[in-house]
Amino acid sequence: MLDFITFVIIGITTGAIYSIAATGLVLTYTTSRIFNLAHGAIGMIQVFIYWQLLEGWGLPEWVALPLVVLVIGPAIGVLLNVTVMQKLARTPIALRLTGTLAIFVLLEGLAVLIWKSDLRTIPGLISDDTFQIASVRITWNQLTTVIIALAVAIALRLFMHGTRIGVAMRAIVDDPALAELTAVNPTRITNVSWAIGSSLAGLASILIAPALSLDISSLSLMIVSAFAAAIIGGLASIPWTYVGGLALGIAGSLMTLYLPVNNEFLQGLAPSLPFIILFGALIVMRQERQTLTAKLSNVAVEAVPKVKTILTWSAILILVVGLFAPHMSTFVSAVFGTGLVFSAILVSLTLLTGLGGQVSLCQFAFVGIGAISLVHFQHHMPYLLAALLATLLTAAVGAVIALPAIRLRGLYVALATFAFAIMCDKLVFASTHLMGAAGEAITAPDIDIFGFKITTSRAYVFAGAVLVALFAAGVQFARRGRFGRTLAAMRDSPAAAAALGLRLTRTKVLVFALSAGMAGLAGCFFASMQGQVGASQFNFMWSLIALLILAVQGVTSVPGAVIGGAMYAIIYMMLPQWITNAHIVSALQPMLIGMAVFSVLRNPEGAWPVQMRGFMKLIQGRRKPPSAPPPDVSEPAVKDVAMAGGH
Amino acid sequence: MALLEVDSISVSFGGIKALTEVSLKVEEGQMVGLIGPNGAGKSTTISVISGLRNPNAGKVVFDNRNMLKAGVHRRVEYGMTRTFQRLELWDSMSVYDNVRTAAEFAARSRTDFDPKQAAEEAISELGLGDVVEYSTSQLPTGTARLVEVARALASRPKLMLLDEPSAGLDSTESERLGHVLAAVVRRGVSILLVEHHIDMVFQHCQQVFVLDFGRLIADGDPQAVQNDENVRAAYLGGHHGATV
Repeated sequence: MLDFITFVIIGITTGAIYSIAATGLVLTYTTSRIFNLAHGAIGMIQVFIYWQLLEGWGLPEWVALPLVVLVIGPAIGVLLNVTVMQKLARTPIALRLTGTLAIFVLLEGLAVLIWKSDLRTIPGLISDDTFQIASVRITWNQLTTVIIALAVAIALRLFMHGTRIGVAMRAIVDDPALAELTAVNPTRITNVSWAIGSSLAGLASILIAPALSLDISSLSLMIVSAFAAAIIGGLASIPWTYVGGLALGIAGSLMTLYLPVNNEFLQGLAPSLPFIILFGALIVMRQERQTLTAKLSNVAVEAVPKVKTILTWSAILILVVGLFAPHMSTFVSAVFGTGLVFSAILVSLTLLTGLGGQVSLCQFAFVGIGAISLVHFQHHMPYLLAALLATLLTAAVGAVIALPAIRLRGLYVALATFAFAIMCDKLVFASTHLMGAAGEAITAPDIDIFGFKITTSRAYVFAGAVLVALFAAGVQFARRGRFGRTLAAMRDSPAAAAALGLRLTRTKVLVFALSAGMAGLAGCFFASMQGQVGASQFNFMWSLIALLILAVQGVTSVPGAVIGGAMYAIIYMMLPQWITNAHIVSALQPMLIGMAVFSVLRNPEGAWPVQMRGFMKLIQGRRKPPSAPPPDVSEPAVKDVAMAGGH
Repeated sequence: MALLEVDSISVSFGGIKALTEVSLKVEEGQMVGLIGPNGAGKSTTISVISGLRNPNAGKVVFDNRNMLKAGVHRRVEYGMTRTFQRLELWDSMSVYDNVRTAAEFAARSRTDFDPKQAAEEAISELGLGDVVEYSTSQLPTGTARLVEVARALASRPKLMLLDEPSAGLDSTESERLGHVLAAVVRRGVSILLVEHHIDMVFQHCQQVFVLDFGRLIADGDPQAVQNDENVRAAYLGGHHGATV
């Protein structure tokens, strides 16, 4: 019983921190409609600034803490709002998410650049000394955390009900259209909400950091617990968000107490709790049918190519790579091979996110499931059959992930895939049953189709080119046909598609399964090419990086996806060759991608279609006249119009 | 039994009642008008009938089937299509593909027609032959409205729900649209027409329903509605640009 109470108290403390973070998230979401995936990273950077003030420059806590939470945090929030968020708020949901992801990786890169990845710790606010209430020991830090959470809740309530701007914010939460009637400048409202949101992210991170140490990625990820709490609050209700945060904290704490220590799977369950709750909440959540009308993306789409063009480019890819592959060194063939696998994965993501309009933040989880299944299946059957089964299994998993997509709109689908990616990291890729003991890589077999084996790295480069050509041509051909038109209809206007007879559910599940299957097959290829499968290859960060690279190249562009593989190879394989300082490289990699995303945000078609158009103009010169505007057939004839004007 | 029977539907958003016990009927082969000032609940009514919004109370019966549990796509299968007041064209596709894809969607659950033929007929009926190759994003609003109607027509419906098809058209254009719709009705397709352009409604509709503040305030033939005191009051009371 004593244990129980002690763990409940630990849970309340952690839950209080989740609540603070989640409140910030809800506040910014409701006022600007941007779900900030970088919320945790914004908190993370503030912890590092706090550490710098406290440990680096020796400022006392009572100066450093208010400085970060009341000055630096709000300043970061306002800066983000003015420079990025206001622009993002006017873009479709897919771009809004991508934009915050870009901030996420930019901040991570920045933190690595400034503070390196050394181990750092900060002390708790007061002390770890305890006091006792009826034989239950409570630390002063726990008490302070809970008091701060209460103070935040009360202060927010007073602010939202007692000030003009707070009332205006509440009006927006209830009905965005009302905002125009409140006569408060909308920029001011969003500035205030991003200032508070960022400050709360910082406060929560500083409170939780003593328990986590200053680890960049675990601090950025703490936020998934906040996502879950925010979803429980329906992304709108601050009191319910508090309840959700507390429930999550207590449940997580009690799970560590009661789950058997010797069961690896159950042990993985406790850290995955927020993701499981997030996923579950998304599945049971009710949603108005009307939200069907929310467009997922209205990004300009690349024109569907002619059959001849598709075949020519596929042949060129295979021929050129085939010509050079035999002369590649081991390193160069590794670069090309990995780049091509990445291209194949990006093509699968283009199908789902660009053409199907469904944002996926878990493409590498599909890759990993394909790879691991292959390794385990081929112990019992021939390679080809194992690869086929692995592909089908991954497709089936994709169909299940699409479940929340059935009734929910874009944001929740994206969150469900994010939750799934992290769940896979904790439960599947960390499992010693599926992977090697103690996180070692497991050996994967070479490709072996009816005795025809691929063994050298050069042969894999050639095979990779064939795989990419097949994927790209397959997707392009699909776009030419009925399936392509169906996807276009669902993406351009889901409301019209449904109202004209399309079964959205079936189409969404199908496109998820297809895309996951392709990613799973690419995973099989990846495993065979590498000769081994390791957990870190499928880390959720890769799924985010994949989406960001695709955004740079243009989410709807198949050639762009192929080029994206080269971008990956250059940044992640060539850059370390050119710059020897490993810490600079690991900071530069995410920052380059983040900055590239911002450079194309103004032009959401992505870099590839734009460059291509410039290129075509260059080679075609003036031969082709610009396409004439369409005749306005709704006007019968000039004569009639003149007559109409007369009466 | 009428083709479409809407039986006292009510809809509320939060605390605001958008529709209060609205009932209306569309007989087979009729063009029926639904008019009313801005915010009267016309579009909401169309959304409830087409299934994009659930009513809080009341029922919708179409072709002797209760629509309350039927999904949006199922209603198309039964023979109901619609257009949107805010254009919802598939802008990455050509005019032809827009119309053909709509025909294909409907043909998935119905075997009684060839989608390609249906698409071509709809295109020629609305006089869109000259623009089939263009992307719908390039079209002027007037033409885009016609594509919306062609798309709805291509699924060979029994009933079309048209949400302000003449918005953005000038008076000559809407007059022509009125004649096209009248021809469609003569072929036996029924139309529920939500319109701002009241001349078109009074000229072509056999029956007119008038909404104001989410309530039905009048119904009857065009002559009776034009002379109705409530209708005059609703339109004169603050609404401009329309005379009855």
